[in-house]
Amino acid sequence: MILVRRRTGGLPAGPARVGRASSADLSRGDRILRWVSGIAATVPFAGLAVIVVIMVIWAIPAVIYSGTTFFTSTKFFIGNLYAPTLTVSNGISAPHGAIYGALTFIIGTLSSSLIALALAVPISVGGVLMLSEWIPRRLEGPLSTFLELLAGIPSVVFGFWGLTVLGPLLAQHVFPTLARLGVVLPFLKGPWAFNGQGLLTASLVLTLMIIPIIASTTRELVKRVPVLAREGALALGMTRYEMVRVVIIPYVRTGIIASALLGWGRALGETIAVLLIIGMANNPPANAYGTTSTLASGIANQLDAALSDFTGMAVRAIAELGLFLLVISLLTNLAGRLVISRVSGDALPVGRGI
Amino acid sequence: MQLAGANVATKEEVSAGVTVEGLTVKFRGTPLIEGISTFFEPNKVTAIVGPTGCGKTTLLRSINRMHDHVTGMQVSGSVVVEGVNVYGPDVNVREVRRRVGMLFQRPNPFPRSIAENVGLAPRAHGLANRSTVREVVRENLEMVGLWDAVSNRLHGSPFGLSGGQQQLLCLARTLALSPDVILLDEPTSALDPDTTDHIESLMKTLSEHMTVLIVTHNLAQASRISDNVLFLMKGGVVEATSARTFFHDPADERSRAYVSGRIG
Repeated sequence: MILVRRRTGGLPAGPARVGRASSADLSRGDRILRWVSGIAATVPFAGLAVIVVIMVIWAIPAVIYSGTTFFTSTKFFIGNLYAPTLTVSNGISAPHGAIYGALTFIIGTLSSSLIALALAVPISVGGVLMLSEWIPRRLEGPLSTFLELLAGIPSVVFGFWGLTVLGPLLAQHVFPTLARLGVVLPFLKGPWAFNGQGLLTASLVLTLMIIPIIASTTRELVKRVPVLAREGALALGMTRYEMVRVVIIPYVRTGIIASALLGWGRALGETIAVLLIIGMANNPPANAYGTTSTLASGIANQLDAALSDFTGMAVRAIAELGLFLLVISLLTNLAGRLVISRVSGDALPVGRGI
Repeated sequence: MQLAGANVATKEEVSAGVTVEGLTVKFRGTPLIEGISTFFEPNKVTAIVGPTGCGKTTLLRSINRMHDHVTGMQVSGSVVVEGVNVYGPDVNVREVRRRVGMLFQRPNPFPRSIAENVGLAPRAHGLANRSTVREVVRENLEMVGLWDAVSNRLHGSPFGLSGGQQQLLCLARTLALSPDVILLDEPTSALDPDTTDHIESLMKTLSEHMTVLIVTHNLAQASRISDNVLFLMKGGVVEATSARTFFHDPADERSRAYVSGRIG
């Protein structure tokens, strides 16, 4: 076997090489390492490529069948499986009356993830600045560990807790207060489900789930602010608050945007916690508390029914939902990483106006 | 007292210098400087010299209470600036730092615009308002000779400036608070010879209106610019005298050895 072939002796021809070795002067261990690491390095790329290609192939018939309906219809209905006739659209047939609109899921995904993001960013940044600037050093360690432990809680536990504890609590004690704001913001008027299931509860649980992502990145960035820069502000008699505003925020601003994008990616794709809490309704939310579905929870929820579709179109429609979710998750992740790599240089943003 | 900016040329009052009494600074119990007592004359440039690790910077940072922010630092003794013991009870640290400016070893402009670098601190201290801040920015940038180079990019990033220009910007930022004392911690060690010359001549001008203390490793620089010299070794004062005496006829044998380059 090629992996274990022995070198047959003799000195390698030509001058000694520096840098990447050619196969002629490799020992057996080197060869094994090269093969194993080569395979290891290929797997992630290959995995991603295979997943994308398979999703595209699976989704194509659904893309043709739905056309723009995918983006314009809030109705996702796998059709009447017992009807004697099929519905044909663009030359593709599906069970009678089947319509695969993703708008409900898109609205649910965007609204839940954006509410979560809007709450998680200020909480994370405020919390990290509190930890680094005001909390005594000896408390900083345990508190940050606690923050990072939050990231380790399985999402099904979050979902269960949201369903059994947080939802009922909110429905009884928080939503009635929020509803008073309904005078100004009509979407807060209500009604809501008795157990709190719906968009807002799901968004709050998502908030808790993405705080560790945003907070841990922000913490690293705040730590990287040079001591000399901090001291420059303090030596001018600035207070901690002024130092944070004048020095630290400008240093970490871009990084916060990047980590927010990463957190957003997580919120977009979160499945089981959202599925348990958001109410699994197949319609856009009626108000801020309304039940609905996201792309991820919708896929998980519909898949079982879709498998019973004898034409196979429902599964393909779900593949199209999955492909769309995959693309937007990849884009937010890429954007986040791009911004992070830009911050790693010394390009610093500059504020305006005194 | 004049409030707006550092128009030092018209500042009437004379600084009364800095008196240090029995100053000891320990880091986690280990003394860095011990029992230092000395007087820094007003309107003079005093160079603090000595071998590496002798406590020059530690002494300098005691004067504007920069040790407050380092865990494990304990300061005892007193530092009197303008009749106020900065380690006394009820002392407003913010005001101490307004009156005692500091320039660091390497330039550390804020990640804000050039104008904001100079104008933010006077605004924070209430020394300038929205309408007068432009004038403060201009005066201080002119004072350090940076105005012509940056007047057309006041809202641009300071990180586009050369190292020397950044250090001048930091000096303008410090002067904008009209300090009575200015602390310079090897301010030219990272700079080119031209900017070094420029900053050295600025120190002379500044000393007409404030107490200037400079920590330097560069004995040639100390002899060029200082009126007085404080020579430290192993955390204690060896000799405090005029620059003339220190460089030509020092009293202590160790000073003679240091000046002639035998130690250091």
